[in-house]
Amino acid sequence: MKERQQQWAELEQLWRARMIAAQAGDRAAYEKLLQELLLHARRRVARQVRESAAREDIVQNVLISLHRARHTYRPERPFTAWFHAILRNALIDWMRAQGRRARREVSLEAQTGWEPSVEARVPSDDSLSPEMQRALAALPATQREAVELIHVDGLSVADAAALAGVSPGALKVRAHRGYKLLRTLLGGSDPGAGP
Amino acid sequence: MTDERIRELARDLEPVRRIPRLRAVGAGVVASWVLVVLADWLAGGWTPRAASDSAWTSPSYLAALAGLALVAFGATSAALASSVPGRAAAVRLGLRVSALGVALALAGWILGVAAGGHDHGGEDLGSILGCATRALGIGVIPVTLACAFVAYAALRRASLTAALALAGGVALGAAAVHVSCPSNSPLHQLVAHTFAPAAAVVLLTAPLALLMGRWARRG
Repeated sequence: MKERQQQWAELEQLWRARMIAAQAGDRAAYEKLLQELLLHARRRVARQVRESAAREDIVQNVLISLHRARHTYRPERPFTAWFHAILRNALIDWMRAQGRRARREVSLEAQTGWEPSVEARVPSDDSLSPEMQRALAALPATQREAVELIHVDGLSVADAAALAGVSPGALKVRAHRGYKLLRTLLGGSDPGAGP
Repeated sequence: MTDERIRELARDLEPVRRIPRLRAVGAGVVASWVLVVLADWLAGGWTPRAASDSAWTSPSYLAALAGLALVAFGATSAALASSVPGRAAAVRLGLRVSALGVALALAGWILGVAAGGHDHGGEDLGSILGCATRALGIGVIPVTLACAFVAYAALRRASLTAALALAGGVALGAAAVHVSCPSNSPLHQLVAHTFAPAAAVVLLTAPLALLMGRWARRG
């Protein structure tokens, strides 16, 4: 997990630098940034939305929202929290639109696994054993989300809270409860262990 | 498809002017309120209660004033932060502070009624409407500034943001009115001062949200 947190810290610096350059008009830096964020956004969206066509729509909306809101990023603030908020808003907007259309019931709680075909520089949960993935799937949605964001993805509590749309304190409580339940489900073994 | 979108967005890229810090915008909103009150004072319209006035030692009066100040701070902060991605924590804090302010203002009214012995001046409709309208007048510029920032930043939920900006700005106006209004009637203070932001929210949220949506699309 420390390794993932380190990866996130490095990405944070890289993305922040690229965003600052993009705000100054550097198109190459902006294109690279969007390509990298695209991979991350695809993973996040794939985890929460089943329909593949909808996923790509949401991802495109994320990119367009980011483009429109790029002047709202300030360098003294964490970039990933800013980006995750845009990502979350795009997911919420899509869910609201779905609700309005009432085509079918799709919720943030209906989750799928990672898309193995997507390659990214962002940390992934490839190291999770099938047993661990089954145990994660058995957790209540809010606890699962918290455990995945903090313990699987290795996001900081602040970033994870921004993505989940709750306060850092509430997210910690959810993660703690989820972690306890995971231990029970796994028969007392260490939930952080890989295959 | 998405790769093409990325190239398109990159081609469309122009240097942007970052939004100012939220604190700076908040300070600007407060400064505009101070200027309006100062101008009103110099014009002879706004006169604060005398330092010897008994209201300054009345817990109910002070609780109502503190409540209005908290609503002004909390609602304005929440409105500004709601238009910046990643500032959800500031929005939550602002909403909590506002709720505390409302509770304090209502507690002030209950304290005032319980204390008794107050005069009933200012309980007529004319006085109530006069104070509420003044609060709105003083709050217009702070509300406009907050809304202009929100429309320039990344407006998401226009109605909610407009309601928060109205509550915050008119609460600033109501605080100024509360300090100058000679009435010691708890009913007048509740209806004409404390409820002024709520009345503004009910009456003006829809048109302001429409206006903000237009500003945001133009920006």
